[in-house]
Amino acid sequence: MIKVEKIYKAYKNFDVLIDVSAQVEKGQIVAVIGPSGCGKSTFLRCINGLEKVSKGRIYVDGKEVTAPDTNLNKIRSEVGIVFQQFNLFPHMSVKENIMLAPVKVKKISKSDADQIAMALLEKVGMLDHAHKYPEQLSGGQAQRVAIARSLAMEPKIMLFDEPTSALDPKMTNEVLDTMKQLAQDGMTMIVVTHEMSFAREVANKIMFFSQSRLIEEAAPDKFFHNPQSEITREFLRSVLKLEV
Amino acid sequence: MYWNDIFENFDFLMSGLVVTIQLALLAVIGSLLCGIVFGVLRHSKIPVISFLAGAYIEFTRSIPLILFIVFIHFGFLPLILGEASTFFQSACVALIAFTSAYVAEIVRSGLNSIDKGHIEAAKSLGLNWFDRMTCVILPIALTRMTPALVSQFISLIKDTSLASTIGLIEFTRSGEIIYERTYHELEILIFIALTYFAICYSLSLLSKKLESKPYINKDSENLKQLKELA
Ligand SMILES: Nc1ncnc2c1ncn2[C@@H]1O[C@H](COP(=O)(O)OP(=O)(O)OP(=O)(O)O)[C@@H](O)[C@H]1O
Ligand SMILES: [Mg+2]
Repeated sequence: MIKVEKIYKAYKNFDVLIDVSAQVEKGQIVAVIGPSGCGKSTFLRCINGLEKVSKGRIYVDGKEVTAPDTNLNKIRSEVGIVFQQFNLFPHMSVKENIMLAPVKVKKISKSDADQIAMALLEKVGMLDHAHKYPEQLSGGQAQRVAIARSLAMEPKIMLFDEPTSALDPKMTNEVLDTMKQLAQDGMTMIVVTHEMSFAREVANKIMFFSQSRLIEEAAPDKFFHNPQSEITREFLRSVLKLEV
Repeated sequence: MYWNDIFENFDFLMSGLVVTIQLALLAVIGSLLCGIVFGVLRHSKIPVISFLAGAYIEFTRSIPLILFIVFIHFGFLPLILGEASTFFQSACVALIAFTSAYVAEIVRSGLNSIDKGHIEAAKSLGLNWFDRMTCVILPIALTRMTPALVSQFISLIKDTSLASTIGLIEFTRSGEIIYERTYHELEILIFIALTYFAICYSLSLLSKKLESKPYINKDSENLKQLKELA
């Protein structure tokens, strides 16, 4: 579904990603973890072309994102992304936020888009808030609307960049529940997260980044109990206080 | 006092006022549209485009409006059209060309103020450049720019009086024509000043109203409060 081949990303002379290769299969839930500043967000943003790689190739569903003549808008309409800061459009109601892309990008009729929006709002438990404006929502509600907005394009893959980092514990659970639901529905997901319980319970694969490199890839069980790299062990010991 | 001068020449003054209002309206619409285009071009990442738009904006802002009006009426428009333009046409083109440079700067700063996250969200949904601009970026920017735009348009309304220099009989000039005949300047000038004040001040009140809480759906808020009261 996603194939990343030896990508490099540098700002000026600072390397943010060094020689990262990875593969994500259809229906897989990948948790991306690692210390702050190690390049997790950049990795995610390269996948939908929000950042350009300096070197290497990325394929999404067989199409090369990194090719110079790629229609990025087309790829982006098939890859949803949810940000830490929600980024709902403040001048549109919840429903209008969700309807915008289906109407403008997929050119479906307003009434069809309306139905899609309502169905998605029901799915994320926000049906009663359809006519509110983003500034009237709590963080957890806003994030669930942001998820619904991405889903409205019927993406093949969903990327999440620390979707719960701006939320308190109760709101975090609301959003994590929505994401678990999505995982059960078979969505392919890459989730940058600090929520280790989510990584353990929901993910099928953990990708651990440190200092711009992909250090280790493993199933959660193996990753948390029998990590191969000394860097991973050090991280698990110091950050998560695990005995490894 | 000769307040009667106003009533005796009321129709004439009003026909001047109508010209002023028509000119102002056309110029507001024209300079808003052109200003948005110039502002977006100025904001462009393509250096040549940004430079050319910037050159136009800086040049225009460094020249007195009255020179603009005279130049466009006696030089530019006759050259383009191949015949003399009407006073109204020249004044309209000059005001649009002049004000759009100021609007463009306002638009540019509005565009700069947009949260990068909103632009990225719009990109990530697959919206193309045009849809991102028209559906997301400009609407957010325009709401923020409203106070600055309104104050620019208030200047524009007052600037329409400069069109009298090429001979257009707008509101100020129509008053002048009356007191050139009667020699009672004071009353007419007071009346004209108060009329400009009424127009410009109501616009400024309107902008204050638009400024407060632009996004919240006021109707639903009011309804909720009413229900709670009941
Ligand atoms: N536009 C930019 N210009 C220069 N450096 C940047 C830019 N964006 C990111 N960086 C740098 O790249 C590095 C990786 O950033 P990135 O946001 O991918 O890290 P992260 O792993 O997501 O961190 P966090 O957990 O704090 O979100 C950081 O050191 C950051 O300072
Ligand atoms: Mg990050």
